[in-house]
Amino acid sequence: MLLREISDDQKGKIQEVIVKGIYKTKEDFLKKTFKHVFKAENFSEIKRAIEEATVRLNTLEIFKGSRPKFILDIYEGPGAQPDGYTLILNEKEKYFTGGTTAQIDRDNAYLKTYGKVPNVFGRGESLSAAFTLNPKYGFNREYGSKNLVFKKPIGADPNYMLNADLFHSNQEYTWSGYKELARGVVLGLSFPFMNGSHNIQWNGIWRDLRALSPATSFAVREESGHTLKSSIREYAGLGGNIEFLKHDMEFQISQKLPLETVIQLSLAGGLMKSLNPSRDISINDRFFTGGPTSLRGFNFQGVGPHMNGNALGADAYWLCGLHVYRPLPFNIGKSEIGRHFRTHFFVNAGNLVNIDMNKTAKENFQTLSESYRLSYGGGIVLMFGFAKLELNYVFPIRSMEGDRICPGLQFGVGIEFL
Amino acid sequence: MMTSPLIVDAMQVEIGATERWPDDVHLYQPYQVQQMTLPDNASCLSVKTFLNMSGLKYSLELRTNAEEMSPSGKVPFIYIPPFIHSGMDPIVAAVNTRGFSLSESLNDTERSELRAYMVMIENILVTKPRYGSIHPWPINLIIPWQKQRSIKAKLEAKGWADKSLEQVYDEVKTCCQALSERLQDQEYFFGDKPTELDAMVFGHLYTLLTTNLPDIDLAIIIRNYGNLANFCKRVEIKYFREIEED
Repeated sequence: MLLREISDDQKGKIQEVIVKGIYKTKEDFLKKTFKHVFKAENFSEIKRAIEEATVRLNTLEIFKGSRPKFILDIYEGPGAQPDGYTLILNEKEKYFTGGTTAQIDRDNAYLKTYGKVPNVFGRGESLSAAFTLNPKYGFNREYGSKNLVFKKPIGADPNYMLNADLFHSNQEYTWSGYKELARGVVLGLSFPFMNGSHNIQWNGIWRDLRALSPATSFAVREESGHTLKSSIREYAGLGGNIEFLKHDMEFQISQKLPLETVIQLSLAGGLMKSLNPSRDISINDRFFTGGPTSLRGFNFQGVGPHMNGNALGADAYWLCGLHVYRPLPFNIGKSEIGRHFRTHFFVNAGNLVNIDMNKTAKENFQTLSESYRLSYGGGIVLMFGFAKLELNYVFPIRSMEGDRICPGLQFGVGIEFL
Repeated sequence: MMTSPLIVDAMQVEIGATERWPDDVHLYQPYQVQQMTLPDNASCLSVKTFLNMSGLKYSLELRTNAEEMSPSGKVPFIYIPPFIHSGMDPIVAAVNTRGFSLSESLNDTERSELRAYMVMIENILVTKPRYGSIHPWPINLIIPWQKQRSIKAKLEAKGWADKSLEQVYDEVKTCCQALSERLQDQEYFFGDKPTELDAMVFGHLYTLLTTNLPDIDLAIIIRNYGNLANFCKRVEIKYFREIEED
């Protein structure tokens, strides 16, 4: 029993780490995890090193529970120093996690069943599988998406992670009148860089696109068939028959004003260019916009070129949104539930067009700015965690031929909003 | 909004009957040599012969994804905006509803019997490596295999999968014998005017005669029936060479 007041700068040295209850975790992996613990010279450093090891163990889900308990004892083994200690960890290893969750995005609800084996080979690797069903199609397995993910930390450090994913998905793109069966591989490496985590990914997808019904427009039908896309991030053109460059960016700024008012400005834009002049960019790579989370007052993906009601997408877009948020009026906004709500008024503008390579940059810029769409409105926002729910009344006041507008009440759920 | 397929079909019948032959009719098929299996090739040739015999104008579009574009997965398909018809029979039916018909007096039983023979014969001879050569690696290895599997399933359904090559040749001989007897010395199968049966027989026989197959015995069998070989020559000159010269 060790009962003593310990101050942070008191000298101390961990001479031994004992990890009990280990069946599958490998020794060399644990040695790397506790490497810094042995280097600590005083108690503040020991605390920090243990904290770091805890984060690593938690991230890699080695043990059950999120706060492993450490016991510090005086080290009495060979070569014992006067301020030498033993660190003891006694936890149960985690063997399996899994479950079923419901997800909602855009106009679909999904049922996701997943299972994960953490620390599968004893060095922090994990293997997980997920199966997502859209109840709209009943339990038809053809319309489910499946994926299998293997992750492996490099040098027992979860900040450096290799991942290999296999996926299979079958989805309907009703706004464009097609369905797509995609099978693919993702190989990735994430690492810390500057002051964030960066991720390099190679992506190989085999896509089979088919018209959804006999009513699908011929322009969409012409895009049917097999394509193979190999890309690093969104640079596609490393083998396969898809070659293009894609740039896409978003920018958001918020400013607090008096009277608990917040004003927010969002800008987004994207541009893609085919690297092979004889090949157009196919419909499943093009940009789409419109809907309750982007350009409000339009149907989901309802802005831009259309044929027979099918959205065709385009290779350039810009979006701009200006929002004024206020808490709910009177004292409702201060209540426990009311704090999750905001009222807002907004103006949205944007455009989605095809760039004509035979025209000058100036002429193309003119097309992008002249045929813009504009809508305004107001509504209630519900925030829970990272997701948002919006119920708005919208007036689309500028639209172009072919756009599918949605004036009046509009409901939106999502994570990213304009 | 999605229009239900049923309504589209109904519209198709209605509008199809009133409109004649528009100028922008396109016939879609895959690239001949690189891509098509023998039965598809024969089917495309049959449809082209049929349209040429009917004197209808169309433009031929070669697409690598013609099979995937087709609503039924069959090639060729004809696009008479805004309607699409795929496969020999639906195309013949669509042309008929527009008031063009080659055959008023065609014997249905005979035709379907013949068609069944033809499809079965050529399904045996799917040339696997040719299909899919236009796709990039590695899916060019997978797609032909999928196709072969679907054809095998079709053959099994018809009880042809276990037949030996000799048995197949016997069937082909019987079939040619029947056709040869039907044709005799006539210009076409039903007298001096062509019907869709002529288009179909030409499409299938000509394909077998002219394609480089690993096994040329089938072409030899057909050549043994002089009147059938001559028939193929006649149709080719009249409906392909002469039209091209025009």
